[in-house]
Amino acid sequence: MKKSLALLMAAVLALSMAGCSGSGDTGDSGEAKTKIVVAVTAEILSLDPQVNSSTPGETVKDTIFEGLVKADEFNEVHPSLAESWSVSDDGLEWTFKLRQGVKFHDGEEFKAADVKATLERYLTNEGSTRAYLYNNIKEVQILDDYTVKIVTNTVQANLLNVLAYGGGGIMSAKSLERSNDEIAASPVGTGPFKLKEVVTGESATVEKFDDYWGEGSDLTEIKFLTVTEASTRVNMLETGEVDYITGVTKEDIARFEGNEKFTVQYADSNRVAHLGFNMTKTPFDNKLVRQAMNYAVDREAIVEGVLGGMGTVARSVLAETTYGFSDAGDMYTYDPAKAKELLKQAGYPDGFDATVVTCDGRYFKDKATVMAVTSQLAEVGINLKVDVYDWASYLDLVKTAWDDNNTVEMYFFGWESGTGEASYLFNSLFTKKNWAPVGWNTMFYENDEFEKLNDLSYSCTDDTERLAEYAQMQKIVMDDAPWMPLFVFQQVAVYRSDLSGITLLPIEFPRFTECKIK
Amino acid sequence: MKYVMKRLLSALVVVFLTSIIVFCIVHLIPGDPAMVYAGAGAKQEQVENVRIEMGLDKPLVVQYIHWAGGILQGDFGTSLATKQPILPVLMDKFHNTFILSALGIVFAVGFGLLLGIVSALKHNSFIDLISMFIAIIGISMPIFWVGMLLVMVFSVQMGWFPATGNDTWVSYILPTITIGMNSMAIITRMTRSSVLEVLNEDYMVTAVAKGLRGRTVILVHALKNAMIPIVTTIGMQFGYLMGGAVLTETVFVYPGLGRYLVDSLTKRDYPAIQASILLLAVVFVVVNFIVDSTYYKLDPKMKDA
Amino acid sequence: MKFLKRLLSNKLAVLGIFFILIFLLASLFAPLIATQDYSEMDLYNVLALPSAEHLMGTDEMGRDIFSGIIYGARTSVLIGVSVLLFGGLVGTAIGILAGFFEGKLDMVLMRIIDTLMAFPSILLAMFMIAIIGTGLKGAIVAVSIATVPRFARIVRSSVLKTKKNEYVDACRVLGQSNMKILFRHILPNGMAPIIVQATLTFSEAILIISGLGFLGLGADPMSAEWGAMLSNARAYLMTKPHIAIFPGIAIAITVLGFNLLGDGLRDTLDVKEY
Repeated sequence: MKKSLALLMAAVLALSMAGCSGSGDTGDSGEAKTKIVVAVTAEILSLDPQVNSSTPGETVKDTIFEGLVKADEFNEVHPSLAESWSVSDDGLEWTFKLRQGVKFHDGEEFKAADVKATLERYLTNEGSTRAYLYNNIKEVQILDDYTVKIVTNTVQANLLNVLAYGGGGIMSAKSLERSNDEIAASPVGTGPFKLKEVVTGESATVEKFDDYWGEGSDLTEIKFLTVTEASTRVNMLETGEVDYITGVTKEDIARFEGNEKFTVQYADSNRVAHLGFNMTKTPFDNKLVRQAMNYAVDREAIVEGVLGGMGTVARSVLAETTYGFSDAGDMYTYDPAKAKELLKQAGYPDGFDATVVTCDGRYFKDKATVMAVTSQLAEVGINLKVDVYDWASYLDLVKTAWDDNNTVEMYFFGWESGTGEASYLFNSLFTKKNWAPVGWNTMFYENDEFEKLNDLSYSCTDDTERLAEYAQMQKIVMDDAPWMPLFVFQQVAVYRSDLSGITLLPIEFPRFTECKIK
Repeated sequence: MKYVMKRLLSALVVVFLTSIIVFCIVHLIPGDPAMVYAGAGAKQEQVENVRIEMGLDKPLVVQYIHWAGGILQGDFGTSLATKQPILPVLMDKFHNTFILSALGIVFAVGFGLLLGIVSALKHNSFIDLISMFIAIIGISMPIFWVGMLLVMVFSVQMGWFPATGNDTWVSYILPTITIGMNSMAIITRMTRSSVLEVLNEDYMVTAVAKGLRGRTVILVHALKNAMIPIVTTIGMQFGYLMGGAVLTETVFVYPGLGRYLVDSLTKRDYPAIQASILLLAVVFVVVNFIVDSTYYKLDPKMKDA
Repeated sequence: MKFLKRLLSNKLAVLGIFFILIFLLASLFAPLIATQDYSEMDLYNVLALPSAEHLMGTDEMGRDIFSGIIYGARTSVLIGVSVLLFGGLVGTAIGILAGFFEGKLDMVLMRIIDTLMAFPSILLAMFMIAIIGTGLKGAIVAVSIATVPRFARIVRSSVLKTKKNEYVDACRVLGQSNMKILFRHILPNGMAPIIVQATLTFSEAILIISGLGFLGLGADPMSAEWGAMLSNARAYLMTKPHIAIFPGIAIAITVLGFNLLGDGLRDTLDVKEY
């Protein structure tokens, strides 16, 4: 009996080993230097620039596509496929002079017709989830092969930022004649890399495009590999299986710091972690209460203890890296005494009870942050019950109308401006027309002066004036306190030391298009 | 034969009922997958478009028929998350969990039988005490803590084994011990008490009196009769093992069905959830069926039932 | 009393009772024994090693681990007792219906019970939580449902066995109603295996609850729960392993206590159902 058992064990062991051979090939070390593997945190999803994708998807698309303009890590706009531009006096017509001698990955030459085909696709493409950013474009006129005029319905001051955003990636008119699925599967752009292959759910590989118009990168190939577990990513970087990782915890960073083989890179994102108040519910309809809660929270302690230092205390509802952020000092300090005072004035000398909802794991330390805030608010008599939801139910829950069905009192979110500038956030989150469930103003905030300034700034093409308006709007919002801004998420990347020129963009993905090898 | 046929039929009925229950319950889970896949910034119409694209707007019965029909043809549906067919991924994950469970069972049965028999034979000796101690600890320690302790000692401190993944054969050792520990303890106890009971039976005394060599007598006669409850226990353990797989796979970041199920639950990937649970249900039913049939063969008394 | 004497002579059972007492005392007198409110977070002092101020150190959010263990006992008792009541009542009811009335009702009920039993408890519980939602309510209902099958089976076989006793027939002849027979004679005599099952169910419930907590599906995140404490400790296994030790020991000792007691009871009451 025992012998046959042993035989059985051996057989099973042998079979299982046969089925699970070791991991991938190591490859020639000389060649591997110009081919890198990047571990991304989630699945890559659609490669159509006009569709929302996961952050890894955006990372891949960034290597393949370019827009008329591009934004750098301070969200400043620079020429890309357009060399220069001008805007008409009424602000409705933007004329772009296009770069010549640019080739697409399919060999076609970049001309005005491609810009027209790409941007006008937003008007008819039902599958696009980004149309709301571009649907102010009435039409694109071809003045000649290298000059194009974009006509908007209403004045849109942030048009350049929107064109610099990933959704503005230009595709060849010829490639757009295919179906949506084909476009998403084999997209054609002008970037320094072209798509080589995709293994759905696992990886996407891009290879150097030799006819790229610009300087490009030293890399010949980038493979983006989906590795969802942080610890696995770290292990793979250590063993050399991958060359670049993001989403690293503080403990794991310690393993790489001081090690010459690796570089640790930090950058602020433009995503602000915050608690939102449902202002239709008592006592959150009372400004004094909201302000009190803002004073009651020790943000430094949260960044230090909860985030382990991996974050920056928020200075307003906008991150510093967002274009339009004003340094005017609108932020609340940590002052529990003042908080108690304000609560007393508001009629709650003994505090009150409420519920806060949060997701778990969707954002860095989301649940832990909410728990820390709960602990701190308890010191001023505000007792919160914490309800945790999975991401799918959470969205459903928070984005409901303000009627009796909405049970949410406070919630946690981390909004960022996808286009990297303030109007996107101000408009989508703080205006009356975007009250949930139509839009994402889940605080049900409204302020007439804010709305006036919003309309003004949206159509103001003078940058200085616009910035002043943004500053004013920021002041109003911070004073009204529909949010309790907490901190700005920090990004960390760790990679092979011989790589350089990789920028960690505030819109939260790394840009490889200028990566060089030392 | 008739007995086996009857069991087969009831097994099929259970699978069918389970599929309906699984389908209904999955749709009771709160949360709107259309919203998740349209993305957090999408407007209401985008969400509706996505909903229609996913076929979530059709009545439940139609969705069920579509799904069940597909399964029968070997199409386990398309994952809402990856937009790819679920079957290959499911099979891959299942393969991994199956291997882990099989290794776990082998470990549990191997050591369990060994310890149990030895304890029974050396009843009340020091070895017996130690084995029983290990066994009772084994069923009291939470499986995920066992995994964490093993990682702490053997991965972090000694560096002998990797803490995560499943690339080399070495990386299977800690997860196997973790997943099998609980079952090993149970099998040890069950084997010990079963063998003890049988050793005290009259026919055992007769066999010894007849003069057959002590060891052979014990092994052949005692085990054969002790086998029935042991086999039942082993069969049940396989089910528990697949349950324990969820926790073990989480600790060791092992790409198995347990983690796939938890991930799908979190993402509200309805088709993936349905497919995983249905697969698990079928596995359990099959295992139970095999156990019952073996039981039937081992115990002549069952033939009349 | 003879029963108690027999039980107490079993050394392992006594050890079990000892562990259980520690557990119950901790949960009963938690506010007196714990050194801090578990929700107090010393954010500038996270992951600290044991010290005079923090007997077992602090966790990743600066909470006192010792207090967490003590209040965690309270959470476990709360959930465990609720599960026992809820699952026990439902399971007993089903067992009685099946065992007492037999026939078709028995077959149908047992089919359902068998199907449920084929599923590993933690998967059942996970599934229920996905529907009901996380939190105390969800945890209790989910774990209860996982324990119902076991109770149903035990009660059913106990009822079946006791029913066959002759005095039951005598009672029937004497004209006693079904209910009276059930509650006066069958149940009291069939209590032994049910009691053993109750202790073992409690230990299993603690394991499932901590498992759910470990997966992040447990009760309120602000309340102390051993499984959740272990889950949080996972990320720090390499750097600060000490925070993973105490909650695990707490679970192991409590479960061990109930298992030892259950074993002892089984031996003392001479229950052969296993």
